[in-house]
Amino acid sequence: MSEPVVAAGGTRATLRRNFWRGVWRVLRRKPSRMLGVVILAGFAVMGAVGPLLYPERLPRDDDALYAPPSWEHPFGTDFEGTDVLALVITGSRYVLLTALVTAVITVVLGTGVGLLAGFRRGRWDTVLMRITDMKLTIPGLPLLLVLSTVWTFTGAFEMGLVLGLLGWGGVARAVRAQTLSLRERGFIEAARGLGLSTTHIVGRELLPGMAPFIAMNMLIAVTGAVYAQVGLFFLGVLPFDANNWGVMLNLAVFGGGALTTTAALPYMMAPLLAIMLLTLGIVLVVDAMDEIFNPRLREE
Amino acid sequence: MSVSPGSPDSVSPEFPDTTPAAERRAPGVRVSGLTVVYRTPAGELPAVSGIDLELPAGTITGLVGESGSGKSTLALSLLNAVQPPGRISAGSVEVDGLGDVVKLGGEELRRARGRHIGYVFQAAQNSLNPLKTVGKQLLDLGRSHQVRDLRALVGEARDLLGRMGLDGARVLDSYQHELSGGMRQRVGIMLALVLNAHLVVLDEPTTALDMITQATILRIVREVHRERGLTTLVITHDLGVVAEAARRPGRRHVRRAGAGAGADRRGARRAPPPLHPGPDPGHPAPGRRPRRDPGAARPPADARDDPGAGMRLRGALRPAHGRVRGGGAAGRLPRRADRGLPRRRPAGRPGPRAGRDRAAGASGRGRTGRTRARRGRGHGGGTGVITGQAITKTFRQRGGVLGGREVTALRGVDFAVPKGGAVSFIGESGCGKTTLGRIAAGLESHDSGEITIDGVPMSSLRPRRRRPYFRRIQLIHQDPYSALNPTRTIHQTLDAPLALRARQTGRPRSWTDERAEELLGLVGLDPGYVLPRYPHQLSGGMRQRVVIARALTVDPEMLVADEAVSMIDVSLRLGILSLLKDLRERLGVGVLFITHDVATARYIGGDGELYVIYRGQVVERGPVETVISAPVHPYTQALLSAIPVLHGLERPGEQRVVPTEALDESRPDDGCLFARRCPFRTGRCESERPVLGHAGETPQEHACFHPERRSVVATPMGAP
Repeated sequence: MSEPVVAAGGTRATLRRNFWRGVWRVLRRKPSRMLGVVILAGFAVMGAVGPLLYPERLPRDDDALYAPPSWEHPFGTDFEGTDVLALVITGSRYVLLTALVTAVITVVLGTGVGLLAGFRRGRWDTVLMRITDMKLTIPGLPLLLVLSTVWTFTGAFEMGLVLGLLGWGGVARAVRAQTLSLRERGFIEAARGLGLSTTHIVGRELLPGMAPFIAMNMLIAVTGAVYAQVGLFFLGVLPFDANNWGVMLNLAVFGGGALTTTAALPYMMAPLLAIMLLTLGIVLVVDAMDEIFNPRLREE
Repeated sequence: MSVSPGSPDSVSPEFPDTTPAAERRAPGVRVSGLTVVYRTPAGELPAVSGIDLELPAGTITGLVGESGSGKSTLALSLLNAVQPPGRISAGSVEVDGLGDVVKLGGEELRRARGRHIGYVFQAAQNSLNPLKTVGKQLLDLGRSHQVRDLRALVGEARDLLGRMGLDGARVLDSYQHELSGGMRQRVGIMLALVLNAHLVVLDEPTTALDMITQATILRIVREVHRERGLTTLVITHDLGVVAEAARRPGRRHVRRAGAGAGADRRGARRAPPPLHPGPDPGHPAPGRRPRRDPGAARPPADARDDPGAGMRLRGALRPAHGRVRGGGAAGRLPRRADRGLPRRRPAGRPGPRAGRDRAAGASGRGRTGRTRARRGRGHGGGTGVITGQAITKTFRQRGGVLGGREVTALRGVDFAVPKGGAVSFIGESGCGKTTLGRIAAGLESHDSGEITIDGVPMSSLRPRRRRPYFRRIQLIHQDPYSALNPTRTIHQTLDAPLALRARQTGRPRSWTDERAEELLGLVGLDPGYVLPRYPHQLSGGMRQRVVIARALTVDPEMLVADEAVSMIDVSLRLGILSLLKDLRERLGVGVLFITHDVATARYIGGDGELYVIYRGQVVERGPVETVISAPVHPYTQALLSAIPVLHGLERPGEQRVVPTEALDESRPDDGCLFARRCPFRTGRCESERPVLGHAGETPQEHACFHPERRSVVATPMGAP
């Protein structure tokens, strides 16, 4: 009586282990994927631990304004003589946290709305999709400009919230389309016929099939959010008092004249390089998503 | 032959055809030592290894094999058209008048395709360009082959289509979506022949066509072959198709394509001798594929764990192809069914064999079920698991400002399935039988009428309260590939409904795992192998068994099997069918069997009722044997006569031919729905619709005004 239970329990444990082993196998399949994971892990550590390594106010060296790269200052210094590398590292937390919050809101909201609309269809679908369409027609930049007059966006969460609320429309549309096609599949019908709960059907039958898509969207939303906020700060449409990559770019170009003189070039290049590296890491990891969530590709 | 052969001067001078068309004759083909390999991450795998094959000039040859056995690859090699990652690594294909096709290249090869070798692709009905009319595609073909006299080409095409029973001018002016599947298939054949090719390869020419259309296409293949004097190769997984295609001409050869693996055993199989009509002492009985080497051509896991594997060795066909009257088939079947059982049966549990023996005995459950089935035959008697009264359903296709099109799927259908009984619905695709099954399983709503389950009319309940009733009726999907969630293991798939069941019945959670193993054992699978696996790691037959096991998790009273074996390899079908039959006998589960194949309906529900459905109306209803042996409705007769029969086995009569397409869509349907295609229609048929009844003192119910006319044989369609 108890033996098969034990055996099956073991089966379940094996399965979970198999998933991570499968993920490892998928990542190992291409060295580029490992590189992507390493880059992303590096940025995560940078955002979490990096700012702790520096004092609240970064030291200035008034004798070395716009100093060229050296062993002491790998990317030179800024207009105040502050180390650029230190600025990049301390500025990363705001950027990465904003991106993460944006991505989570985009995906959770987009997936939720899309699933509900696609699965319920009928009136729910009509109402939710009209809201989505309306949201999609709101131009983001002017709205942010208006918002910036009343809101300072000092915190990463506020910034992420606004960007996230502006970005979920596309995901919702795509998830709805996927849901509509998946819900006609035999196994969803079978689940309905067996009397399984809607929670089970949506959470266990529908969602896993869309996992690669959702994970990919999440990662792409991260890059989108990084571009958006850096762009906004660079343009100077948002007031800033904290340090981040966008602010650095703004100061380098408009303050240091990095586009006309070479002195401020390293100051501009450092945050750009960080953004490029982050994007590269994400692109490399996105490549593995399909294989990670598709048991067929994972196991082979 | 009335079609004029293309004249020599229709050939462009840049690429003169060395053989004048008048002298062009059916070429013989000799394939020797042909090996085709596919590059995979695991190295090069042979799809065809060292095949020798001869197609004598002017014969029809059938090439039979299950999916993955390399038969399509072999056919493509005849055109030297194997696509990367595949390549022909060894061997030669000698075609008379062409030389070794394998050595041809570039322009020569392109010209040979179409001019010498016509190829009708698998699913030719989907291989037409949806953006161009058939005529436009014909002209493209002519231009790319430098045909000068395009007018003559069009004339030839029109002629050919006419020979196949179509209005050539109209078809040439049509887009793909304006033609039915059977018409498209004929267009495919026309395009293969129009350049006057005398070697024609047909790859699965009738897959995805209904029975009547299939019979029509096969007759056309036969006729065109004879009239034009072709060498024809028919590739199929269905021996009946070959038998039917090669029915009239004297010589028949059946070649078998073995799978690529196991090349070392190939020696013994090279150039199998022709399968002669009638029993051959050296070969299995006609109607069975030659015995194959155990485990030679399958991945080991499959061969080991798929219970169908044992059966495959015996080469089972669709069961009632051996349309043996009385005991013959039935006598053979239990033995075969045995082979569908798990190798490792849990100790102490009586195997299905035991169940069968019990059923055969006087007090078996199966017998009880059957007796009950007989008793419950009266309709709407309340004894049925499910009854439907006057079910109608119309689908509204959205589109356009003006509301779109309406498609009537069901027009007032009555049905009843008794407890433990078997009822079969047959009809061609699109007749509404699937919709009816889905309505019975509660997956589709109906417009009017009443569904009663266990005596409770569903209309009296709110939708939420209907669920437990419909749960007693489980649908087995046609496609085992989409019926299982690819992201969930079999264990997870079975666990969810079992957990629900455990909650409902107050059983401990631990019961679910035990029950899952029990159910898998019941459907003939090894739980230890299957449970931790994902669907993609199982074969089609195993998946369908899992689907059945999942349906059984909620202890249903009835299974709705919607074409449950049509997407499974022919050799595995019998295993699934005998499983369904076995479940009926052992568990007393009723079966509503939806199929287009009379033979399977007869096998599963031989003791039950057969419903023949045409365009949403039941046109004939009665005990299976009665309907099959003495069909009354002309549609039933056409359907029955369309079954391909293997040679050596008798056919009940001449093929009854009815047009495969509704002739005039614009006229209203006031009268009999079948009138447009009916060879016996009278004025009354066009103005009044017959209702189901026993008119003319027939034992079964039917919806025809003229049951007495059934001895008349129709004239073949499409004759000029």
